[in-house]
Amino acid sequence: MDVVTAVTSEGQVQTEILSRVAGTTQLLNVRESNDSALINRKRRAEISGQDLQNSSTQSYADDEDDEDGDYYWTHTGDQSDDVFSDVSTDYDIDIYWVDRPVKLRNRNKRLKHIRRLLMEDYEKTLAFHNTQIEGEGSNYMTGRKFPPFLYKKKWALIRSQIPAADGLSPITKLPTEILQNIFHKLFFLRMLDNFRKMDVAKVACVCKRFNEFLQPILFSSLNIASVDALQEFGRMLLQSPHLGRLVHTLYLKLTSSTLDEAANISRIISRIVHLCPNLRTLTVTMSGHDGRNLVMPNLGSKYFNGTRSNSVQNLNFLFECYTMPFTMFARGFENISRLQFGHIDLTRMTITKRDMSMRLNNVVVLQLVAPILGAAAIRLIASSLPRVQLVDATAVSSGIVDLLSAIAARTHTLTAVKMRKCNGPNTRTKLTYKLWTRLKSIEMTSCSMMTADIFPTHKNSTVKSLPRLEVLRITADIKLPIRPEEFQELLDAVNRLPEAVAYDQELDSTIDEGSPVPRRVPDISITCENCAYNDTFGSVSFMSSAPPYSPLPGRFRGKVYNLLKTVGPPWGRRIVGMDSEMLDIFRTDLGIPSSA
Amino acid sequence: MVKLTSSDGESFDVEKEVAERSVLIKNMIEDVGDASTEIPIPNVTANVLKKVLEWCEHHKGDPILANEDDTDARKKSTDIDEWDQKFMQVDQEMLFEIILAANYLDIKALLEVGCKTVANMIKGKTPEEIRRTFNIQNDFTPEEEAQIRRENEWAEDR
Repeated sequence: MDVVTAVTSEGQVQTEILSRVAGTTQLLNVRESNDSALINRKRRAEISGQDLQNSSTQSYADDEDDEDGDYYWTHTGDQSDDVFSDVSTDYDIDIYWVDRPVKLRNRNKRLKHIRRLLMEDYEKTLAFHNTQIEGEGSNYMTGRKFPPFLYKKKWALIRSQIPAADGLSPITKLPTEILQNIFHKLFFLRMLDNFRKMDVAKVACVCKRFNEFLQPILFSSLNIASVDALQEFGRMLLQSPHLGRLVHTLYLKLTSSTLDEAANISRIISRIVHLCPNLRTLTVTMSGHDGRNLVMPNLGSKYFNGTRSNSVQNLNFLFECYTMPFTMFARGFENISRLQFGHIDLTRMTITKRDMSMRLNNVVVLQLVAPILGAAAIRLIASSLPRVQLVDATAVSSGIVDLLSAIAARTHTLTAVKMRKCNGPNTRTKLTYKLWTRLKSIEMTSCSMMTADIFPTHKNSTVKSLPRLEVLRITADIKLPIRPEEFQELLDAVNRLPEAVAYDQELDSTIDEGSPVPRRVPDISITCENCAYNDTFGSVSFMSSAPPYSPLPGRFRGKVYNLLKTVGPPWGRRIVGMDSEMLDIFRTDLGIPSSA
Repeated sequence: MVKLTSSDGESFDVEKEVAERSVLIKNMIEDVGDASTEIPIPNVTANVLKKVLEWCEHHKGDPILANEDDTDARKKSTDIDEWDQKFMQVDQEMLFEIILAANYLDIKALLEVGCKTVANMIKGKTPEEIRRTFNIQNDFTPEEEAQIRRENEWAEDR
């Protein structure tokens, strides 16, 4: 037994329809609902949800794909016959058909739009609804098409919106961890089609408990892109100081072209940093107005009460300047553990003795994003970071190996290097020896230093082994077919890799006494632009990853050459190079004369 | 077979495999050592337990979600299985009872489905609509609400 109410809008036509389902008896109880807050609660009827579902499926089976109709429906009614639930709750089912042409591509948006229209026209709808039901009775909907897509897709949503019978909100009874789980699903898993922070802000306004959960999310990370907004934010923090404790990450994108502006920025930032005691990451992007030169705000100035924060651990500078920024900032941020420079031209900077005396003892990660390094900058960075452990460099056109070598010469802590799209060193010095022999992890992606720098046994390098190497991941640009000499260098380098892996002097306690000393086999992954070395625990193969449209010779595509392979038992693994037969095949396929 | 007793005294005989979808029951069975012993479920009423067992019966062959599966694609997925969607087509009181029962019985997959369903109900609604949907009382004073709105405006990128 179903009660179906259809309403056409456009502010004039609203209808209610009662459609009968074959084999069921229709019973309609029209009564006023006390719950005026919910729309469509004026009409209440006892229905069977399952019957309605069956009937609509049968009646409109041929309309499966009809998604152009503009319908909206909600319902209340008796759920007792529902196969999915044993709980009885009264509810009605009203189906609204909006005659207004609403052409929204997104179905959810369309439904929301229709719902809004219905809310606007509710009074008219109700009046017309009553007129129609009195005039035409239950046969009103006969012959009309029911929107199958709505039935199928929205049924679950609408059904589960029925509030609890006791009038209290069951969601308020949920324990904290479940509510957190729900909000996590809602916001962090991007259930919203177009996730914005304002969506979080909306939900936060529902009640105090929701606000308690969501305000920390809202304020944990803030983007501020103008000095005015920064000033306003500072004022707001003075009025609501509790919000300052929620801020963990601050992205500032500011402009400064005069000394006054720079001083103003310094003052505001120092105030905000003071009001945000839990600030962990501060990212400052600065530029001059309309192409004018940037005037750097001096946060660490000795002439005024400058910025002081013990909480900031990540400090990112993304701007052009000719003065080393952390000499200006670092005095205020003593506990930074990660320092990032981005897009800074440091070639013309000058440093003083005072700069060279500065030490950022807590920095363990140095990130460089497209800086232009100069000799002075390299010296300053290397001397200022005595405990750096990881250098992560992206797009450093020159000087990265010099910087690494300079750091390695001053500290024993550097053990890992990550480089993406970096070029080779300006000069090769003996300092490189210290660097390569200390590193435990080398990762290079698309660096133009394949033959010159990746393999320490190459050419005049004094490095003969990598005693501490545990991870080696290299991606290099090599154009294929390569030249014979390059090929030979490549082979030499690969074949020398086993030599570069030294015996581990310390016996593993898990190995029986008398067993061969295990070799430390590095995690090797070397990939080239058109081919790759793939490693499976020590077995290195050279295989073509050339796509079908590649200009590479067809004979090369898709072939796999085992350049290195691991042999021996697990306690005594050793790597052997490519045998001469395979080498000849490889050479032939690459088109390299055998004399090479 | 395992015999489970709900808080209102109703007993359910279920297969051990089905009952063991609940980590709590599984541990209890292991502790007791005898599967034939009646296991009381004091925090779950009969009608809720029936629904939960219905879900467990349907999903008895599925792999059990562990804590370390937090990064699992299944957990991250916002999609709800069609059967589960139909299963969750209940009134709000029952829906939240199921969620609470899943939490108590430690049935992670059911808890996930429940939370996703509720998240779907919140999705895309205005505060007033959310209040109406869940029958939540607005416990802000007008001044408080205005202040919260003003503060939360800062959430937008500026």
